[in-house]
Amino acid sequence: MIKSIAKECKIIFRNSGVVLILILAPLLYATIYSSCYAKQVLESVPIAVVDHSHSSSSRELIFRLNASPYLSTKYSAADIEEAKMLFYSGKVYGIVYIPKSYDSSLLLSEQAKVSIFCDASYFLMYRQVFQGFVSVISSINRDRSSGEAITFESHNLFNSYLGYGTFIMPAILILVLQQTLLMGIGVVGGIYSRKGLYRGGNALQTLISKTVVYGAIYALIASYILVIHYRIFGYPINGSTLSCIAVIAPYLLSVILLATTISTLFKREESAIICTLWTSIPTLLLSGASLPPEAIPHWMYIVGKILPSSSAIPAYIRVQSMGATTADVYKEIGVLWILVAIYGTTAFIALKKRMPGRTTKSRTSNLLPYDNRHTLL
Amino acid sequence: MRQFTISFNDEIKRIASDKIYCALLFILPAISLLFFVCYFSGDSIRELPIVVVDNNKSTLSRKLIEMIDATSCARVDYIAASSDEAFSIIRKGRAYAAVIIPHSFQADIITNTPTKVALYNSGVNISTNGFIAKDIQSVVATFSAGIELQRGVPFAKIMAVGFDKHILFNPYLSYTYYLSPCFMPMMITIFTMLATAYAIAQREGREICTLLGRIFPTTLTMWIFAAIMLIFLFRVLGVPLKGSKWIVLLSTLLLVTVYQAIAILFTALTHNRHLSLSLGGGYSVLAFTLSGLTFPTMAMFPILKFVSHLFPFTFYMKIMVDQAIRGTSGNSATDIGYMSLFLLLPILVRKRL
Repeated sequence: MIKSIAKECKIIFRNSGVVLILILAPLLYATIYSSCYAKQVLESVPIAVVDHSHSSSSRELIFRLNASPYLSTKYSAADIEEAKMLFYSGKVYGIVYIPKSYDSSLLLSEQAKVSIFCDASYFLMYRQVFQGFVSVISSINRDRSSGEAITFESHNLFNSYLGYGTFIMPAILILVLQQTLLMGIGVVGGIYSRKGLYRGGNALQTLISKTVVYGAIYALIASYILVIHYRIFGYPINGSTLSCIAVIAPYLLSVILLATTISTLFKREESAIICTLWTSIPTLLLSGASLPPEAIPHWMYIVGKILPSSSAIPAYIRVQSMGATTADVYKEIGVLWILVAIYGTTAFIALKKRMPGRTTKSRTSNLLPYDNRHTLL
Repeated sequence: MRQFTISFNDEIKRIASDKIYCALLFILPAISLLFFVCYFSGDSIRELPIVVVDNNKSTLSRKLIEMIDATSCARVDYIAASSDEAFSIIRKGRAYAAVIIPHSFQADIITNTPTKVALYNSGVNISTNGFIAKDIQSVVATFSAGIELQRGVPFAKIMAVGFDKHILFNPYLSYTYYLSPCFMPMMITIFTMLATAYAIAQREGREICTLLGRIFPTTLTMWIFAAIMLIFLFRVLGVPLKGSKWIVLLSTLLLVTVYQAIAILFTALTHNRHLSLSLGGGYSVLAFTLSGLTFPTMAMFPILKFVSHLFPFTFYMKIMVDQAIRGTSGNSATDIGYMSLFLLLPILVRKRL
C-alpha cells in the first residue's frame, strides 16, 4: 500500500503540469477571482440629471441623489436628447428627468412627478441606480408626509451590504476544488495510460492510495482556501468547524472518486484538460448558486445533482454564510454520501477493468507496451 | 498555397483519426451549445418561496399576506410561529426571506398608530434578494397608501413625489437576455483556444503556411458553430437583436480568429501542449469575470480594470450588449479595432514559432 501511495506521489510531484493544475491552479483561481470582486459593492454609478425645474426643491433632490452611496450625478444635461447621448455613449447608466412643474406641484400640494430611465443591460448597474433613486424618493416622501400608516423595514441577512464577492465567491471557491481535482486526477490518469502504469496493479490498492493521496493534498488546499483565504477576503464565517467538515469531507471524497472513474478513460494527459476545462461554467450554473433553482429547468437541476458540487455548494453556503447546522443540511450531506458510494463503486470497477490483475499480466505480456483497450479518449 | 493545402488535408486526416480532437471540435461544442439553450429556456425568476410570521392573525394581516402571495416574485410557502422558526426555515434552504407582521398590526392601524412590517431577506443570493425586496416593498407601500387614503389623507400628502420608471433595453429583467449573449460565445472561445493549441503545439513544421493549414479546420468549424450559436441565441432563445446583425456576425467570427492568435502566442511561449492547453483554457475561463458584465470593471481595482483590456472578450461583450441588447452603435467600431489588435500577437513571437 505504501508503495502504491509513493508511486502516486511520485507521478504528481515529478510532473510540473500536474502540480500546476492540482496545487497552483486552485490557489491562483481563488486569488484572482476574489481580487476581482474584492471591492464587493458597486458605488457611485454615474447618472445624468435633466433639471427643467431649476428650483430649490429640484436642487435638493439632486443633492440627495448625489449623496446616495450608489449614485453620482456626474452629468447635468440641458435636455433629454443630451442625456440620451451620454447614455448611449456609455458615460451614464441612468437618467433622472425633473420636469418644470416639479416645484410648483409640491407647493400646490399636488403630487410631483419625476422620471427615471435605467439601463438594464447590466443588471448590477440597474440595481444600484434604481435602489439609490427609490431610497432618495422614499426619504423625500417621508419628510413631507405626516407619517406613514405602515413603515417598511428591510434587513439583509448574512450579507448585509449585499457584497458581490460574498454572494458568488463561496460557490466559486467550492467549485474550484472540484474542477481542479477532476482535471488533475484526469491528467494523472492520462499519464497512467501513456506509461502503461495500470498494468499489474491492484485496483483496490490503487483506489485507496489515490483517495488517500488526493484526500490529503486537498484537505490542505481546502483548509487554506476555506479558512485562511476566507479570512483574508472577509467572507462570512458563521458555521461551526464540524458542520463545515461534515459537508467538505464527503464532497472531496466524492469528487476524488468521480475523478478517478473518469480518469481511467483518458489515453493522454491533454484529453483530461480538454474534457473537463469547459465544464466549469455549466457546473456553476447547475448548482443554483448563481441563478436560483426556480429559474433553472427542473429536469436540469435534478440531473445536475449527479455532480458533487450541486449539493456541496448550497450546503456549504448555508453552513458558512448562514450559520446552518449539520442537521439543516442533512439532505445535501446524504446526497454527497450516496455519491461517494456510487462513484466509489464506479471507480473500483473502472480501475479493475484497467488492471486485470497479475494472472492477466502474463497473458498480455506479448501485447504493446501499454494496453489502452478500455480508454475512450 | 500548396503547403497550406497539404497541411490542411493532413490535419483533416488527423482529426478523423484522433477521437479527442474530434470531440473537441464537434461533440463538446455541440453539447455545450445544447446545454445553454436548454438552461436559458427556463423561467425567469419568479415565485420565490418566502416565510411569513403573522403575529397578529387578523383580517388585515391576512389581507397583507394575500397581497404578498399575489406578487410575481414572491410566494408565501410557510407561515411560521416565530421569527426563530422562520430563520430556521431560511437556513434549511426552503425560503429566501421572512416577512414579520407585529402583534399590534391591526390594532395600530385602527387606532391610527404607526406600525411596521419587517422583511428579513437573505443576501447570500443577491438576485433573489433584489426581486423579493422590490415586490414586498411595493406591496407594503401600496397597502399603507390604501389605509391612509381611507383615513382621508390626500394622495399628494402620502406620496409627495411620484415617479415613472423606464427600464431600458431589458424591461422584463430577463436573465436569458442578460447572460446568454456572453456565456455562449465564451464557450466557443474556450473550444477555439483548446483546439488551436491542440492543433499546433509540439509538432514539427513551423512554416507560416503549414501553421495556418493546421489551424484552419478549427477556424472553419468554430465559425460554423459561432453562426449556429447566433441562430440559437436570436431565433430559439429570442434574445433581441436591435442593432446590426452583420456587426454581431463579424465580431463573433473575429472573436474566434483572435482567440486562435492568442492560442498561437501561448503555444509559442510554452512549447508544451499540456501547458498551453492549461494556460489557454484558464485564460479563456477568466475572460468572463474580467469582462465586467456581472460585476462592472469600474468597481474593480484599477490594475484589474487594466488587465480586463488584455482579454478580447471584454470588447466583444461590449459589442454584444451595444448591438444586440441596446441597439446602439455605441463604440462598436472602436471595439472591433481593439479586438483586431490581438491578431498581431503571433508576429511578436514569430521567432519562437
